[in-house]
Amino acid sequence: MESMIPHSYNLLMVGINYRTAPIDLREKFAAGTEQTRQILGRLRQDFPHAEFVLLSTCNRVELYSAFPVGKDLSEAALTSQLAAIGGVAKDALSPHVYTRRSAEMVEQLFLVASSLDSMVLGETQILGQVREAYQIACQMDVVGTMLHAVCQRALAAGKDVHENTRLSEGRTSVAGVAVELIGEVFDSLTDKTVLVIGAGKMAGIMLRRIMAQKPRRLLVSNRDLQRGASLAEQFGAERIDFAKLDDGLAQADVVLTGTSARDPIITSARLKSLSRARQYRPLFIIDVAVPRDVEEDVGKLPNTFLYNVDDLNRISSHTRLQRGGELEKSHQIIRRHMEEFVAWLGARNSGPIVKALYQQCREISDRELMLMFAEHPELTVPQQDAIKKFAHRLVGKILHTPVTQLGNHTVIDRRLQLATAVKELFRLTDEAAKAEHADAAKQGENPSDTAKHP
Amino acid sequence: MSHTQFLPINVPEVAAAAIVPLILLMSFYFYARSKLAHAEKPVAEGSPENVTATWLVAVAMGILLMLLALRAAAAHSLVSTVTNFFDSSLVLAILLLLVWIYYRLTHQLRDFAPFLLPMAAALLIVGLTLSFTSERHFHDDNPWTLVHVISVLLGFASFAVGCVAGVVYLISESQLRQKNRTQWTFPRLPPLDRLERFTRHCIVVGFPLLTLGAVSGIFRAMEDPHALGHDWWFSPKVLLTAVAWLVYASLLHVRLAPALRGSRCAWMSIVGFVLLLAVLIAANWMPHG
Repeated sequence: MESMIPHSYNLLMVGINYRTAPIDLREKFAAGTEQTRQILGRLRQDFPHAEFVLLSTCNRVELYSAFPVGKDLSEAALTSQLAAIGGVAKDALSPHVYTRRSAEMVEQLFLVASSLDSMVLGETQILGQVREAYQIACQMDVVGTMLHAVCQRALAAGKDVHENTRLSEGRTSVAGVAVELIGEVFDSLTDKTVLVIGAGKMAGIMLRRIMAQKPRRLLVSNRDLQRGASLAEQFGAERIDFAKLDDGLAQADVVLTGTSARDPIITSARLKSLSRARQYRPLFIIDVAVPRDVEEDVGKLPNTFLYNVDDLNRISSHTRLQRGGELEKSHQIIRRHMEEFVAWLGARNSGPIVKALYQQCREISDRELMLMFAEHPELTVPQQDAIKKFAHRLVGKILHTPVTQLGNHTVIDRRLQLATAVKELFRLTDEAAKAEHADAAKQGENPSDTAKHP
Repeated sequence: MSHTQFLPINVPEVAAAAIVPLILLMSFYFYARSKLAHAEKPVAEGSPENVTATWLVAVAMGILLMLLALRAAAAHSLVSTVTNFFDSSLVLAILLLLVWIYYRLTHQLRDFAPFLLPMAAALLIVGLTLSFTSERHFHDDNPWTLVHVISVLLGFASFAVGCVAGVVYLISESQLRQKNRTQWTFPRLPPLDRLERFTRHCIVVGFPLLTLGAVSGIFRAMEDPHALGHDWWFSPKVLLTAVAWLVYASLLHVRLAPALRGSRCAWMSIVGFVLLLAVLIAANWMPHG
């Protein structure tokens, strides 16, 4: 994989995500648009030759970079930059950091953009977040030829996966998973009471599925009386004053909560104090609020089962995808995009080499013709023209096969090996590099029209 | 009532009885595999693993019935089948397999039924082991003896089923708390409240039988104090039975003790059954059974 990326660039990414770092560490890296701009501005100042994209979401912080060979930035240096973003010591961060280099870095961004590396497989939000991170980097003028290409291809791959697989459909069945889980606890809801706290959109979607199970009673409690009243009216529910929530909790068998409260409204202590009033009946709680409405310890109480929206999402996407083979299909799409991207890089690499090769051979041919014409002044102009044509045709014929091989070889690695061999055999290095730089400087030569060369 | 004679157990009978637990455990393994391999219920029911498991239980049932019939015929008495540990364990295993057949045919607790198989296997192993340590059997003419033995046997079977329901409840509860549904070992168990209700039903059936067994045992002891010794009131067998009786009695009064719901009910059904097993072992070692 290493050899797929042109030798003139080094690609490196350092990051932390929900698998490697706890939430309290990740929280320190939460960067808004303005803060991301400042960080990128500082990086541009410190490393004028490098390209950067900073992706910061609640589940991950990844700093993607590309820099020309000779202007290398070490992994340790990049980790230090990441640590500085979060304001944490590098040593404290290092155990949680993962690194991706070269083609692996490209693949990582493809996987992230298509949500295959997300906690909730199939989520579409991440694609927007990658797009935003790329746009901010463009605005801050810290992306060049390489990261333009990588980001644009990643966005295309993400879009392709979302549009051509049923990966995103898992999200719609979260309510279905909730109902299935309720069915693991309760035989039937026809003799049970459901309490809804809050009147958010998500709660509304879930409630519709739960109501299909025909619960005996539905109670609605909301701080906003008007919204609570509208939800109660829509589903024919009884309203409970938010101040008398304990009454509702005492009667409920299933609680669905999705308020915008900053602090938990259902605590372990609150439920414990209601145990006797509840007659120790089983309680199933679905918490769709972010931040959470229900304290995590509540799930440890006897006969109490707590599922938050992340739990439901995880189950929903995994079961659905595993059944439908959508995961494998998604990975196939990513593989195809990787191959296309590398092919583009290969073509981009061989172009200047071919140009330099022809140029060098024609120069040799021209030089030799000049010498021959000087030694044979008896040759007439038409004769000289005929010899010139012959020489040019000969050069073209000789180079045709190797050049075709160089451009059309189906195995990318092999093509790059051939390119390197040609460079070395014909001593094209300097010429090719010059041509490559000149080529890259042409904006719009690659998938981006606004590419900036580092 | 005539004396019932204990029929010594011969090697082929022990070998046949010993192979049954293995068959039952294999069957349970195939059920578990079929559930894991086919998360979708209709597929799991007709899967090769499921069919194999059912055939294995049929073979086990055949062996048990044949053994019991042969021993009853040799002893010229059906009563002999409940008067010693070996034959009683055969009867218990058959009772559990009958319960298994019943619930395999119902929709409500079909996924619970396979868990009866390890319990039947365990009871056979215990019965076989106890029959090796002693050849105790009842051989008096007291009419309370037969009532005592039959009611205790049926009650024991009922509590064994209740204990299995308790274990399944705890498995299901721990899976639900684990949250990662894709890694559940036993997907699609019956709902928790159905399992709890079923546990209580088993206790409702077993409790009067246990009470009858205890009362008939007391009458038997009172009529013939020499048979059990004078201090039988304080024997481990009687004390453990009293504790088990109290455990089950408390479970029957959920209105008086609402805290004994859910996992506590499941735990108590297991504890009660373990106490009864201890009674069985104590009865084996007590000088006057």
